[in-house]
Amino acid sequence: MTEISLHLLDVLENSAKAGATRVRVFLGEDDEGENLVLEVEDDGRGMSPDEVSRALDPFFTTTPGKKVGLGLALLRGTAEAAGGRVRVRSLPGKGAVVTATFRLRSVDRPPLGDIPGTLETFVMCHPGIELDFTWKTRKGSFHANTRKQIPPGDRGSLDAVVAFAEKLSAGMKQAGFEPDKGGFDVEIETRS
Amino acid sequence: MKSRQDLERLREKTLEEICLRTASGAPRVVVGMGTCGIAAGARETLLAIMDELSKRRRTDVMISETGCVGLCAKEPLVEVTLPGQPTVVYGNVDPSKARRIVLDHLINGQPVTDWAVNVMPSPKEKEK
Repeated sequence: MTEISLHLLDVLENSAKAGATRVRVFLGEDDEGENLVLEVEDDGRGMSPDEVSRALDPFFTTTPGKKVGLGLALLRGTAEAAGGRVRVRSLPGKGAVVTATFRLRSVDRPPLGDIPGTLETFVMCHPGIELDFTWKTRKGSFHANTRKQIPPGDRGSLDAVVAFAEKLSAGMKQAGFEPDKGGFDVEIETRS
Repeated sequence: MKSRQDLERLREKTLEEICLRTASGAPRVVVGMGTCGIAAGARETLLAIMDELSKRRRTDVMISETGCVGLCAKEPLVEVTLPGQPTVVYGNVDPSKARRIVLDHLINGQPVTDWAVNVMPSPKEKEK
């Protein structure tokens, strides 16, 4: 995966497969401004303690007929390469929380990528899932919620999703979100 | 808008545009969104499909996604179904191919056979 937003989409797809009706996404810097934090919380079917302990194993999956489950393993690879980690918390029937941290200035931290496009894709394909998204850095913050911002009859409508994505994109830009080149870029900026 | 009739006409027009995604007769596009599809660029493909359909005012098309179907080397995979016609699965669909598939297959009803990796008969043909 070349962008953090692609990992986000992958984790969101896991939530959808787990039968979630509500997904909360937090993306932003921690209080010290040292780490980038990505957190996805869902109310899906959750995992047993055994499944949680093996969730990051690339050769473990709950999908019948498959032998590998690479999504979270790839996320762990990216996070650990960037000096961070991935934590999975879940209980059966109680949903799951996946938290990934990346050192903001690590040269191996990939760019954030197209976050609005990622969320647009997810909202289009899963009209029945409420997406609650928060973006927060020292530059500003932004919050969006599909249940509040898309009328019930319009969920799944192409026009409504495109309009939601445009607002999301404009709101995030206002809150200081801009396409970056990853940790390497931040490091150069800090030095100069 | 001057009267209740105007309002009702607007309602009907809007409902028609939305064309309730659950309608069985709607054309359907499914994009492979497993980890393999996402890594291969399925998001850009889907965004291109949405953009092209939005530009051409084809809001009746049902857009959906599926997980890994086991053909990871051909991702991004896009499946197009028109009512009563065979389902065509396209492989290695980048955004520019996606735009052409929307135009040729979804809008003009002509599958782009060069890029098809599988053709599945429609349920009616299966019955025969």
